[in-house]
Amino acid sequence: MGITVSGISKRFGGFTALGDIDLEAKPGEFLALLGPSGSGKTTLLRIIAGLEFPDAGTVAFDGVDVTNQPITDRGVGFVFQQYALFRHMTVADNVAFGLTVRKKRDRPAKAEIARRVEELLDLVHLKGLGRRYPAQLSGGQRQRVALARALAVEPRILLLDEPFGALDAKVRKDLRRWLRELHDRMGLTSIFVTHDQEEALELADRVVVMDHGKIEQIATPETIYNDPASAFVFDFVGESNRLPISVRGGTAHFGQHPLDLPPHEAADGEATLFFRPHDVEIVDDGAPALPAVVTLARPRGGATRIEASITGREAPLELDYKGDAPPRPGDRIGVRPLRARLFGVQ
Amino acid sequence: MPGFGLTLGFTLFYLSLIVLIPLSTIFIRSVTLGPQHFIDVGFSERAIASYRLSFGAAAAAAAVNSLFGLLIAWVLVRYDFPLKRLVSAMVDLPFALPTAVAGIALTAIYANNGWLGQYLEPAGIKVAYTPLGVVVALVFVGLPFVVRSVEPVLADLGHDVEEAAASLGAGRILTFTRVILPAIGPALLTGFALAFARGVGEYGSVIFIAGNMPYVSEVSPLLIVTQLEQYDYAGATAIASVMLIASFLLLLLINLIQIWSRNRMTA
Amino acid sequence: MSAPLASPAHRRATAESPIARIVLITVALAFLGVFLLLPLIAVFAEALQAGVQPFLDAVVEPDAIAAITLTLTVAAISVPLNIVFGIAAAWAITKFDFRGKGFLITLIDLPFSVSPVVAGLIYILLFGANGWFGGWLAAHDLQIVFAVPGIVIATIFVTFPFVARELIPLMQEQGRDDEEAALSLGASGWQTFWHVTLPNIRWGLLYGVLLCNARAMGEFGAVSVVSGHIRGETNTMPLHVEILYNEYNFVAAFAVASLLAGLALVTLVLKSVLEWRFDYHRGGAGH
Repeated sequence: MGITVSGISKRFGGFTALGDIDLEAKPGEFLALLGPSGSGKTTLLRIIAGLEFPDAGTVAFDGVDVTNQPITDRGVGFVFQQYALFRHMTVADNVAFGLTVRKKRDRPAKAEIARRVEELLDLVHLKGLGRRYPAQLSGGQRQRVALARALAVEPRILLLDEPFGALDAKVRKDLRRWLRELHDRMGLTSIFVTHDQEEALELADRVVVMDHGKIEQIATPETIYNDPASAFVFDFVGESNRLPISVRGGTAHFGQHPLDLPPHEAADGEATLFFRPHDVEIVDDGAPALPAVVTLARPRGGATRIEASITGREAPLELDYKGDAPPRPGDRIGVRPLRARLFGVQ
Repeated sequence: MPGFGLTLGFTLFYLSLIVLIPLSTIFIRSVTLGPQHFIDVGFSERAIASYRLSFGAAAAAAAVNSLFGLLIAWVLVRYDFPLKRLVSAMVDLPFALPTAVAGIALTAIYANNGWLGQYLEPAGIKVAYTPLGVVVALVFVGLPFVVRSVEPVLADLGHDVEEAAASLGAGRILTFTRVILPAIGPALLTGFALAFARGVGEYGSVIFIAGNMPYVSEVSPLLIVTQLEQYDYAGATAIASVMLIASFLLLLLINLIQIWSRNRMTA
Repeated sequence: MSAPLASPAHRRATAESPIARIVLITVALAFLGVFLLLPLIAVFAEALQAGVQPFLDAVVEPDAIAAITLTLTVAAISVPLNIVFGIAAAWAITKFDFRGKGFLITLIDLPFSVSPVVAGLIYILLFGANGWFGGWLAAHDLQIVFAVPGIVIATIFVTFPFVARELIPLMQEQGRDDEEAALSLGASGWQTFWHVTLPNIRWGLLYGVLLCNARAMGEFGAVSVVSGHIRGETNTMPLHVEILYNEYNFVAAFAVASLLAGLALVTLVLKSVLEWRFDYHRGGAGH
């Protein structure tokens, strides 16, 4: 089922949570809403779910306007950040809830409900735990109960608010992969909210990066990482170095040093240069590059992570060196970005 | 850490002196009555009528308080309205107002020339000097028990649980009956039991409004006082021990409710 | 294309409609108004129905003064004793581990589940003319029931748990770290208590004392049984109210009652101040 969000705005008092948001999720797509806290990502998810209502704009499912429909009637599955399990019900009763509250004529028979609950518990690998109470489960198990409960009503759309936020790193990784499989197998259209860029890049078909109630970029994980559309996205997704520079006569300068940059189309004026630690070449001092002094060098992954200080900049540059003879602390080096982006100063 | 012997010793000494030894007199005296005599005075027709009134009125009042106490707790936790803090503070009035004062005030209100009595009596509802008056007085003394039991649990109940119910298709009423009520059920039951226990033993607020007719509107505590005034110690003691046992059973029930709900809701 | 502005009904998916909300608030306030506020207003209205002068006369009349004095005296004895007990019990229970702790807490709470009349009765059975110690007391010309000591003891019984049950959860929550730190720095047990524990528990203690005092001054049932109702001697304020009321002296009865109602209001105000200003929250239902 496709989701179309057009022109959504939402204010809370004097605070603009969302300003004129347009977004489309194609049927079967897995979208991530990524952004720092206060970016509006959770509000957007809640508006799509029908838990909040926008001040302006529309939400449509498969072209049908549902903007004024409350969540009760939208038939979406929603997984809450803290799971929101019913503590006084067993796991099985939690999962069955959506079926047992249906009107009598739509409600499956008791035996049928029990069968469906068994099936779902099996699906989320919780077979045999139906008679436990949520308090007797681990965090990861509770998360899966929440998911089974949401799936029991057979939604076509699954919305998840920071689904892995309360779990430790190992459980997180396993659940992530499993959730992606589930999504594909059941033919769902899913949107999840996260502030963890690694999670968004690993899991989603497309990532929606948000900041201050605006969408900064919607693209595949590769494009988000390799071709960020704004300074914010470059900074927020992945590791990056930023340098204030000025462009004069088409050439970028850091202070008095002209930089040998890959082709770019920046206009003359002040700008900020972004590049990733692994997108640099480290050359000898004296070459037309940024002069820096190595302050720290330690192995990391298959490379050597180098921190180098540069005059006129407080924070050191972070660089990866892949060769066999890494520079040592105290060495003077030249840094030449191989891939870099220039963004004008806003 | 110092002071264990001193503080525990003093605690046990004071507890025994003020509470345990005096309370035990009731049971020792009851036992010395012998079973036949005990039953004769402890379950005389008049005593049974008083139990029926005390326990019945306390149950009715606790039921009324459960309903309205829940409503008041809900309104205090969920909604904003003018003077909310003042209203919240006022809920504790029955804890602070001496029972005798409440008793005469309620009587003044519900007497046939009182503020409410003058309208209720022509309508055929007699409150003062009837068992209904006892219920009204016990509603007054019991209300804060329910409100203060339910309030913190209701406040702790996450908003997301209700949203989850809504996302699964439950409307407001189903959400309330299936999700909210079971979650606050133990607290509500505790409040009911506390209000009930208080109502069974209540004296000060009741005697002014009850009318105190033997067999009709005479509560058990009053019967104890009446028998003491007639130097019928055996009767007073037997009735007192019946009431004490009932209170202890209630206390046990309250503790069981809390243990049960704690075991289920927490790991 | 632009959606209608969200109506207030649509602000949250799980909120009641404004109409339902207004109905619920109205019913709740009406119930509180009829069952709690109306009696309170009635006390003052009845006290002042004949004007200010009869009110003042009733309050300064010698028997009334004697009742006020006795009530203050009883509270002045019973409240401090229960403070000492409450602190000792809370210290023993929260700073040490021993078997039967839960049972001890239940025993401390016991007086709350005993009818006040029964509380009075037990002292009659102990110290009355036919009581266990009755003969011995008479032989030594000592009187406990139908005299001030009986009133004090009965008051101590009914107010017994107030301070302890306020302090136990509070001190449990605060743990033992502060005290252990003080002791490790060389403070004595008493110094630790005065300089570390007491400042930590002061608001909770005050809260318990407030409720304890309100009940001590207002207790009726237990005191009524042991007092003997001797005017000017063993009549506390609540008992004085009863006597005046039974004599159909309603203005005087409500005048004295209004003093007690005033005390209740002061108690509620101070209690609210503790809750709001010092953010002192108490858990669960009180008594």
